[in-house]
Amino acid sequence: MLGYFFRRLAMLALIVVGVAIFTFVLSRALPSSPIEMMLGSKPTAEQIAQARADLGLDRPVVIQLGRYIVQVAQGEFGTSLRTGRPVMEEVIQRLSATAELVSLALLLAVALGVPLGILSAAQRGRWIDGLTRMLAVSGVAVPVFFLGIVLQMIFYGWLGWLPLQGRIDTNLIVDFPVPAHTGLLLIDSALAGNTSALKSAFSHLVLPTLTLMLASLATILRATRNMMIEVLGSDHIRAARAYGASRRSLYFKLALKPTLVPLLTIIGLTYGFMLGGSVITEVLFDWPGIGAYIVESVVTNDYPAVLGVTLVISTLYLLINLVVDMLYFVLDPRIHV
Amino acid sequence: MIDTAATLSVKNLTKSFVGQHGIVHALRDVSFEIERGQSLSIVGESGCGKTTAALCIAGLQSLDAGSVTLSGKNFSAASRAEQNQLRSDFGMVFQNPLSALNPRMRIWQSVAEPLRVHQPTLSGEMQHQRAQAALEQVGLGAQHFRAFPGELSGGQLQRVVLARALILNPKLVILDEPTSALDVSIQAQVLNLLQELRDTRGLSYLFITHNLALVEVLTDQVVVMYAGRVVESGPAALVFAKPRHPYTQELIRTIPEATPKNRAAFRAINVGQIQAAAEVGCAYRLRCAHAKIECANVVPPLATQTHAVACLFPLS
Repeated sequence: MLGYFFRRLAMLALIVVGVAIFTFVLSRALPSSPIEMMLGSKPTAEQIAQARADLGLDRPVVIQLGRYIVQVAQGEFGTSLRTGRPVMEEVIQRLSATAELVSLALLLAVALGVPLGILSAAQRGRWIDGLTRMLAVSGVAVPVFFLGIVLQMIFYGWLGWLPLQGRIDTNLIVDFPVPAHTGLLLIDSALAGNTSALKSAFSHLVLPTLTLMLASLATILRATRNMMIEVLGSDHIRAARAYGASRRSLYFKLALKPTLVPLLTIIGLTYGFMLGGSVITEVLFDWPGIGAYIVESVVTNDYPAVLGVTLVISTLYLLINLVVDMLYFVLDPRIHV
Repeated sequence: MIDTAATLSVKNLTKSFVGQHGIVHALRDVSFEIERGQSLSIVGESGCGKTTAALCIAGLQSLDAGSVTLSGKNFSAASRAEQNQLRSDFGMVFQNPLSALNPRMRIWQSVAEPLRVHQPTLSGEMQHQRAQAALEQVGLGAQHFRAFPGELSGGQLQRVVLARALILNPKLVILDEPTSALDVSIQAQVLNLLQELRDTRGLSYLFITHNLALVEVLTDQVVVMYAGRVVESGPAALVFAKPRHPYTQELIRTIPEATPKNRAAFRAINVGQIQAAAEVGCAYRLRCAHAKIECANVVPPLATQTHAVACLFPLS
């Protein structure tokens, strides 16, 4: 198993290099140039030449690529053309905001989706099954932006219970700064014992988490239900009923275990997808996350940032997949290497 | 006190489903008994209700009416928890042994599962020992104990399922088509094993089958079902030697050599027609060579002559 793990890790490194090369070539092949953005509307020819030399754009593309790979291998993604700050630093900062949002959304989606899925499978065809089906269909069908706006209208506009946008109350954070340990505000403010910051961070998280969660909840719920029903209909479950296994052991032990394997794949994919796909939610709630960062970087031709983000997200995606694959060993005793 | 109650007593079992052709009466008033140490087979063609009978008896399907009594204890009227307790009184063997075993459990774990349910205080060590003993009893060697179901052959798997059914030392084993998923040479092995176990442990079997060889070798009583009704029942030897119901006769004649010529004797009739026929008269009259007008108007009662038969004009 350890050998398999290291083989997979080596493969992962190769894929990351591939992604780096691909995104780099793509960024050079695009017709737009970051120079215009950097130098304003009417730069002189000397200014352009100077900027190109500074960025190394006057060298052959192969040399540029080589230098880029070496840089990346050293964990150096260059500086953002837009903000002038190191890309790595920005990505980590933005990513922690997204990770907080996405992890919470996924956690909630799993914590609600799996039990509701089991319940619908157990109550197949009854009213609770119909209710969860409606929830699932609307979860997939309702566009994220619409859901977000509706939630904002209700909980901010009408009820005034929750803040409209942002990650935390800015006045509060100026008066009582929270030292960053993990980059996750919930954890950091809890560590600092700053309850008002914790409250604020939490209330800011509620709406974007709900918005982001619903589609995944729907997927996980339906997947759990359908796989549970399939397993529950199998002969070995009937055999277990025949020798007197209790309902609890039927549902939570015998039927849930085989369901968990494919479910884990879905959860892993969903997590990776959410990390890069939370753009709409982030823009809607002015969440300072990686999705919004990607959009800003792309529209301003900030290619070091785009490349950096792409690499980080694809690496994360691959790592999540690796973790999921390793978990199969735990869940299915039949798998040996 | 000697327990004289029948091992299994089934009374007026009735069950219907809503199917494609409207309501299908899978069981109509089915009754029979298995005396202690005796074995019984339910035979009949596919769709006659025999598997539904097995599932209803085992409490895997709810009953519309009727009762199932296990060694004097009313099983069908028990609560779910009580039923689960009573399930240690019988073992169950299904048609397809591969799918009846949890693919994620090792063989010995599957066999030990009923122990974990019914004797939860038993140590892991003891469970393992009991499972091993049960597996050895059905003729499986130590090299198979830690295998997964996918690694064994069909005959070996059916032995595993049998070991699981026997580990709680039940007096009754319900076997639903135990040999039909096995090829002929393996069938013979399993039959020999069943016979040996019956003789050494005094087991009662309830077979659901259309394997008449099995019926002849292993059972004392036979119940013939057609369209959810018992059409003939009695001692196996007698029913085979002198079938009184035309359906039984046809069944005995046809099954051992299912050639197209003989199969033509059974006219193709759909379930809906049979169900409709069963409402007002003898369900078999649509196929029966001896059918008369009266057969369409009266549901023949199960009357005892040399043995029980439900036919207005029984064969002599």
